[in-house]
Amino acid sequence: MADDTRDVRAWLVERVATYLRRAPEDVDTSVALTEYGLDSLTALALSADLEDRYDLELDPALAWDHPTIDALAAKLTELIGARP
Amino acid sequence: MISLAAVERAFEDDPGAWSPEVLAEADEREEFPVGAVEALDALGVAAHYVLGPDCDFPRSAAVLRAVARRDLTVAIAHGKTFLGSAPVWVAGSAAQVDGLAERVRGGASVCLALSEPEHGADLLAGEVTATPVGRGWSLDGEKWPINNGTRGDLATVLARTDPAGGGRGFGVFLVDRAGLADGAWRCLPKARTHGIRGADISGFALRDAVVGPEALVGGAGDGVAVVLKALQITRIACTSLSLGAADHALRLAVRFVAGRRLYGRTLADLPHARRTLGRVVARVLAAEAVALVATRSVHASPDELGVVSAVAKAFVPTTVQDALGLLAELLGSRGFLVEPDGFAKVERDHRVVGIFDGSTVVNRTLLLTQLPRLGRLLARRRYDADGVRAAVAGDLPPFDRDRLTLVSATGCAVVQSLPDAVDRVRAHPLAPEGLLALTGPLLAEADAVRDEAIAFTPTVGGLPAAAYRLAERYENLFAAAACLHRWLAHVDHADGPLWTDARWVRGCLAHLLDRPDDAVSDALARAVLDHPGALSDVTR
Amino acid sequence: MTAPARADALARLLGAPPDAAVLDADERAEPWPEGERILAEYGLGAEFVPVAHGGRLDRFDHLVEVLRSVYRRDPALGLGYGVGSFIAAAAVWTAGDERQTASAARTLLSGGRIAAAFHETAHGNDLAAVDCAATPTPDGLLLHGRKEVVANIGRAEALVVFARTDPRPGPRAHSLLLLDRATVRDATDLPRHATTGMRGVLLGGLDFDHVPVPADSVLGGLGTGLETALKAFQVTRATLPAMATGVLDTALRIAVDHLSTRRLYGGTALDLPHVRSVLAGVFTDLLRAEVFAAVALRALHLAPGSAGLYSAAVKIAVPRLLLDAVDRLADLLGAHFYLRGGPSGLFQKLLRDLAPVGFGHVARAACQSTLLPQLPRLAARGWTTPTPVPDGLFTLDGDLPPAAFDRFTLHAGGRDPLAAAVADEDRPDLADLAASCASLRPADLGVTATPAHYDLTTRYVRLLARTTWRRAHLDHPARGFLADPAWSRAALHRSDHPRVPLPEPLAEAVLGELLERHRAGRSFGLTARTPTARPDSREE
Repeated sequence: MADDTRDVRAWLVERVATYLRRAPEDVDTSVALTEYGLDSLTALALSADLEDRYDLELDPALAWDHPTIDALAAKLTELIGARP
Repeated sequence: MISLAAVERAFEDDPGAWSPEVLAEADEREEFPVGAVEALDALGVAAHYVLGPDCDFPRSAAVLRAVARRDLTVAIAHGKTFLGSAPVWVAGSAAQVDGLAERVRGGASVCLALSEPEHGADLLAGEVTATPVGRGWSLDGEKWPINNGTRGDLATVLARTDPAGGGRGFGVFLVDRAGLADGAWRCLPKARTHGIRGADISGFALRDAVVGPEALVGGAGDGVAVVLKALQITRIACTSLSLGAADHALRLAVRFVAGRRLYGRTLADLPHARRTLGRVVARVLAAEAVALVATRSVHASPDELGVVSAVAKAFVPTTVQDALGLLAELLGSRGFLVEPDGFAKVERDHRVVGIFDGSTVVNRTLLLTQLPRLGRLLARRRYDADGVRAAVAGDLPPFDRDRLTLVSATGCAVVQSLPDAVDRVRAHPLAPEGLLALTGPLLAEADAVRDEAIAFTPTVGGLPAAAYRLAERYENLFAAAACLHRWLAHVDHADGPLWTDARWVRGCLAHLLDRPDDAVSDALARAVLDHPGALSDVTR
Repeated sequence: MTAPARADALARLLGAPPDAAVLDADERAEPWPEGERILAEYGLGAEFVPVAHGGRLDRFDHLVEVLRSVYRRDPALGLGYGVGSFIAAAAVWTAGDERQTASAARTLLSGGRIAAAFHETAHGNDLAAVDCAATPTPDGLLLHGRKEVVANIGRAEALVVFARTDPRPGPRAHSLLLLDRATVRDATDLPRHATTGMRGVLLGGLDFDHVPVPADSVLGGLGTGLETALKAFQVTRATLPAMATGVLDTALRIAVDHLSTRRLYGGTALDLPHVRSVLAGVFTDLLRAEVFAAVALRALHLAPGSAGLYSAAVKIAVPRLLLDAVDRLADLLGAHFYLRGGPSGLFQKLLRDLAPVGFGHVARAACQSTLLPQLPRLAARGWTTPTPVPDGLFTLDGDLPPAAFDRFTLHAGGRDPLAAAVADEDRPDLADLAASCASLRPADLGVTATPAHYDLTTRYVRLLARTTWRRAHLDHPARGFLADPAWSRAALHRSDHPRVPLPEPLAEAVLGELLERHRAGRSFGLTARTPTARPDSREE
């Protein structure tokens, strides 16, 4: 389970870094995405990416309710684990 | 509910309120078109603004278009109640929905209060606050400019429920002005505007405006989501305003071109003038195809409206404004005169449609945040075929608000079905060579847009300028697919000069692909000059 | 190009926008009184009088630069106070005898106005169809008929009237009359025309009821009216659109003012790549318009026999550049464009005032009709055995011989010195165009020409314009923005790919220049030095 979370988090860091035009190592996973200037509409796009990457159906506002990469990764790992 | 035909009859039966002279004078004096708005109230047009399981959204949109065709200012002044009440239709409790429906049918005016003086497009920058008091809320701050900000009986107000803001930091409140304490709602001055001069574009300041818990629409943190869903529908409704303006301008232009004498002929005898008119017709028909498919999509595929509404709101007003620009040059000084039923007013009024309820740039940005996925889904060619069929023609399922979603998981079926639509056209016995010749370039463009969309990343801090062109090209694909589907659905039983040789759809595709075709433009112009009903053969 | 010192002096007298008084006058649809007073004090009329007749007109580009100072401030003042007189005066300088020119000069130098009474609503640009008749009698002429939509006709001290002097059709059926308004009895003022833009211009009409006028009021002999008008228009067709670039200059300034202070999504709007790209494109287009016009204005001095080609070309190309650019700025301003108040409130007036640049005076389509019949001869002669390029045609700072009105010809006779300077890269296009023009038959060249034939003029104009942008860069002294390769690359990119944003590094280079000028309060056009900022931030 912990490994899965790391994978998900690593992928999220990559993806968010692309959005932010930053190097992945400059993205702190415990900082709220809005602090980095990720606006709410782009956050919606992120949940679309996650759906496509993990073949899940997600609440589009997922990134609003789980505003850091750590929180998002934890939630996603839980959802992936609960998949039939 | 009053029918479209009855509304149109009423225009003729009540020349007082609807006389071009009266409307032009109200415009010049910047007076609210009271007579016409009251006439619409008396007819019960507001019943069209109630959106529920038994509504017929395309029919309501057609009524709004008919009013806009008569006078755009009046349509905007009256139609604001649909905009204002939409958040309740998409997210209100049963009691809120029933209560508001009764008020709306009874003629209450409802305004949508999103904008603030310093923050137009940026919903999340809003500074109006909602603070819990007792079981209810206290609202404070200014909303401006707001359509019907002074005349509104009720307002749906987006307010910050969490000082930190963010996607979960706002709520929507249905505020009944009559229920507020004295001084809690203070009207702000009317904005003097470029067009729709008579409309009540003003606003209000709320101070300690205490509302009960029943005013909150959805949850305390649902405001942004509620508004985004409501906007999906109101943005589609806005396309009716553009189509009405286009109808109006085309009527004036056809009359001018047919009657204007120059160089010993009429303007209609000059091929150059006919080409311009034909190009206008093609633009208007492309805009209409998008608007009609988008309008039906409210019932047919509500889960995809996040894409469809952004496409429609970006494409339709822009395309119609472009058409009006061509007509302005064709009409010359005639289009510049202030006169009753004049073109100049239509042109000025229409410019607001591309601005309010989310400007073209805002909608393209919204589309771009979804574009990588849309590219991937286009590559997969998977889509809800039943949804597309229903969005094009035939019976519609009831409107189901629970299927609305912020981001479409299935992308945009209309665009994703484009390759299949092309296959069907190619196999169709009635498809003329001139239409078939456009299908290759169309597919090539679809492939190019698909690849660029997949490669695109919506970075923060402002999207690159080139991305907006990509969004526009995606909109063009939607328009092309809408045209082809509508042609396929109706060609077997349709007739009229615009259907001959697939003229209208060829004109639209020629415009969308930027492959001008003078012969088709000429045929389109001759069709509308020689056959007054030609355009309605296509609208169906 | 350098502006004459008096252009700067006038700009200082007029002050800087925004100014509530200009907007107020527009609201009241009246001339801006303070502006008229300043222009009277400055003696604007002298700008329209050639030096030889006692005025200040020595270079057409300097005339334009002086009027740009007015158009930047209030376009309606430029058109309403001045330009109508210039159109009328140009006909006098072209065909008037010594007594007539002296009389016109006296009127203008003493602050009077001459109304250009050419237009009749029923005939628009079709001068040959003009009905207002001046019938020769033993004592002179009897003037009978109506002139409509003429600036200042109700208050001008003198009139230049285009009237039919022969009932038979043909090019020798009309004459121009210079009349002292005080001697014209039995003429009734017609009601003023209200327009949606240029509201402060007093557009009126006169109904002449058998008014006796002296035989010596005829300019240049009976039957020469059309010829004189067509020669005089070679000056006005180039100068009027060139002046109108001042409107875009101010519109761009308002946009940058607004966007650099507008907070959006945590920055200013000016941080957004899309906004930066649009601004860079608009600035490039403003310079494209001014450079093309500047070369055409120089040709009026240096190649008068061919200047008619370039004047028509400017009238075809420049208005389109300006109108499209101001529309793109309106999109950026969004709701702020639509408001008639606030810091950006002047913008909507500029947009309305700019509209007639395309159809006013002589419409773009009429200019295409001027060029089309000349193309076969140009193709056969001018483009194969090139006319030498006059020295200094592209050296925008270079000296010019004094302005003269007696050297223009009705057609260029195939001489096209500008085409001789077409760059090697564009030579294949010119050869291709020549091949298409070679097959034109006389029947293809009239007003009923096919759109495809009209498009040949568009291609020709495009080649001319591109040549001016390249050469103005190459021939420019090594300082100033025109010397920067970014300028010519941006100009050609906008021409090659009008819908594709400038590549980002190029856009940034162009924007850097724009923002530097904005910071320093300098104008955005060619001269880049007329002070335009408010007094508190003006560089002295």
